[in-house]
Amino acid sequence: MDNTIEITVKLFAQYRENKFIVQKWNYPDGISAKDVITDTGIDIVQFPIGILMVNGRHIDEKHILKDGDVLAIFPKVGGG
Amino acid sequence: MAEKGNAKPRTLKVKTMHKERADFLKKHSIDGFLPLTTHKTAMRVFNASFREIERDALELKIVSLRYKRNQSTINVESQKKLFNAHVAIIGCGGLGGNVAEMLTRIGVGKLTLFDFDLFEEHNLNRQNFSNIENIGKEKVYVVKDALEKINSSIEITAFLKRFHPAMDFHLISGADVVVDALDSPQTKLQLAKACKESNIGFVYGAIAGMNGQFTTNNTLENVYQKGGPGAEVSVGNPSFSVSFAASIQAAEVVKLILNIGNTLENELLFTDLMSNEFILLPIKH
Repeated sequence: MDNTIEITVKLFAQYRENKFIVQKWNYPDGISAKDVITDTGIDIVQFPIGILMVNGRHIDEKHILKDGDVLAIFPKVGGG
Repeated sequence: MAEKGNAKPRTLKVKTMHKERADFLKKHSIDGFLPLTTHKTAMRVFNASFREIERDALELKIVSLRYKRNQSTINVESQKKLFNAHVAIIGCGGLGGNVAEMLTRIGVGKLTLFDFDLFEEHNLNRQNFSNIENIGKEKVYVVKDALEKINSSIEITAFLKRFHPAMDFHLISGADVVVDALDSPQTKLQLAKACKESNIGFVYGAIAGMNGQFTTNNTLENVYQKGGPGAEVSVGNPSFSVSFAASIQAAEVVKLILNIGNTLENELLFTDLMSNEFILLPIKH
């Protein structure tokens, strides 16, 4: 039985620098958003995470992803 | 008895003055517009303030000439609604200073400003009222003085203090709309929640480098899951990001006051001027 899932990862703004805009990655079932964020290698110390969405819905990092999900990661924007 | 005796003639005098003032404004307006020179003459002749003359002119459907280029967007009735509106601007740095200037120029009649800080040299890149002369001066007072020189009909109250939503909300409870021009996600969260609970219009804006985020009349739990600053600490905020963001916020304020157009009440707008991306995201789900 194939328990591999495909996740589309989208990065925005500063997260794209020296990275990518969109990529499709394969994972074993049960992977969390946090695991995928770690794999992107984005610098969440310099650029903390702001909006985090799966398929256009807000989630938190513990969210377990499913096959075909689109994960969108935006850096936090807080200046005035 | 003497006081009572004096009261009647004074009332009559006010009424007479008012009619004289109305006749003067009608006679000296040009195609429905009141030039600044006539405005000042009316102030002198009728011993009235700039604001009083503006208010009386609007009652007569006469608009200050300064608003002539607003006319295809904002008619006389809308100009009157703006004049009667009260907007609180929390923060007078980049976003706050620019939003305040735009709302002053368009004729929002009452502004309440908050800022605890002084202008510093590193503000010169983006804060519209900062200049070499006023480094070290209180932002909120500099902005108030500058706004009054742009449009003297605006009633401006300035508070030199750090705004704490839990303690200071009573100071803005009479506002129609509150503009978030803060630079702290934690305080933005608190302000949004307080406005929602009090059913006061709330226009959120935030910037970091060439990115911006905006929503209207929403709380911000989905925007800031954790407290603490964002990318702006590393990347700063260039001038065009600030004025771009302030323009979106000012437009949201005007649309809320006039009840026109589509506001960001169901959406979060994420903007990236580096990539020219302008993305509407859901805010509530």
